[in-house]
Amino acid sequence: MTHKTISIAVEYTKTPAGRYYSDGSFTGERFREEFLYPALTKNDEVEIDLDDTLGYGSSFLEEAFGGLIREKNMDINELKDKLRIISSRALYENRIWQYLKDAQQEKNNEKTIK
Amino acid sequence: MKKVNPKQEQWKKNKQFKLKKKESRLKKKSIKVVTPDSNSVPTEQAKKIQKIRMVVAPEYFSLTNDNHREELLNFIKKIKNNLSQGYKVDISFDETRTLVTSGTLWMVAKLEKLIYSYPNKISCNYPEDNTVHQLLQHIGFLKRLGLPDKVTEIDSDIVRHWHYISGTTTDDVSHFDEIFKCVAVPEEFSDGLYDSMSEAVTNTIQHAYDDDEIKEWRMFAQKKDGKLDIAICDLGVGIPKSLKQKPEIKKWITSPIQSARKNRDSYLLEVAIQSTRSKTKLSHRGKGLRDMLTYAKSVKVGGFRILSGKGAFDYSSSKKLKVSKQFKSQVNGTLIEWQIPLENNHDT
Repeated sequence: MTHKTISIAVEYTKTPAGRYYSDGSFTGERFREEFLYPALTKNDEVEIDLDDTLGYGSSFLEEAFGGLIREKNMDINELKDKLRIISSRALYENRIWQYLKDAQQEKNNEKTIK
Repeated sequence: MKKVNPKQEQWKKNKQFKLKKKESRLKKKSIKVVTPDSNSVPTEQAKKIQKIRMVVAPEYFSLTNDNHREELLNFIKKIKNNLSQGYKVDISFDETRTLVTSGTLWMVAKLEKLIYSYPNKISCNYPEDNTVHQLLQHIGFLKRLGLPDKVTEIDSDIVRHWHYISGTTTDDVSHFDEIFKCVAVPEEFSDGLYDSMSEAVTNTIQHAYDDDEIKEWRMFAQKKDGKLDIAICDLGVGIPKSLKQKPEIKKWITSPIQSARKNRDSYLLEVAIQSTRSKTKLSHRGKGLRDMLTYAKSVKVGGFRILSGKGAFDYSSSKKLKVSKQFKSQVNGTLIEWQIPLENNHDT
């Protein structure tokens, strides 16, 4: 079983901000495309360590994690098996899972409409 | 019949009289045109371009008090009108005494934009008030208006702890780290503060401007009297206007039920803060303002304010009180402000 831990503060930035690539250099989209999604495709389990940054705006977290379902077509059940969030602030973990649930709900709604 | 406050009326009259006296004195000093060709007669347009109009900055840089807001907006309007008519403008800061964080930030943003649009057309004097002088020098504003630094040592406590950051992407939020280190925000309040501030900047980049515009934002942080005042400003479309651009909001506003209330910027601000949707119709967007309010509620003290268009939304963390206000005059863009206590004293 393969395992990967990514510390955002060490491997990405201590000041994550923004949603899309066009917003800046350390955005949610870039983190998802270049770090999170590749790790999830290559490993059975991925831990994301959110500690030691200054914090996270909702746009960053939503695009990084919610985008896995919306843009990369992953499924929340698959992520429940693979993804672990490490954070001394429970708020961030709660938000991430809420964004994943909302994204899954939206995806399901779109399928129903079609 | 509307009640007239005699004291207020007298104050206004005195103010107008002083201003007229000053402007008349200074008009006599208008520079005459000197052309390279002494035989040619300068055109009216050339004469106009060389003439300078003095504009006096108000006593208060504030957007939250009705009178002060009116004065600050008129100040900027006067400068803009003179510039667009071809005049140079010389700003006098002699009467300026009180610099409220959000009002000062907005003034700096507006003037910097005008300096960019009308290069070498705006000048100013060294402010009479020492604190005002030190602050405008400290943030580099006087230099941008062509005045070299005169104060050799910034000794005003208010100014030394005043930070200014600006950017056009989210990259410059990395400088927020310097502020948190300088100011030593207590941990119980710092958790979530960066979240809100970086989200405010992201909102500016995402929603305030059209795709082809430069997405400028500015931030002031001022440590004063045991509190940290932070304001983030953009000169974009503003929250009420951006909401009105959404088709379903436009439809909802124009429906006859409570249409007057729905058209008020103050009400639209409340909708934006409490709504899960954003300007872009996408339900995974638009959580930022709501999360900022959640943070303000969680810290239990201090405050949170949004000024945009004619609307204002205020939340007092200690009183757990939300207040909306509709002003008569419009502020272009959006200002978001937080007040955080720096001591664990919950008397704020």
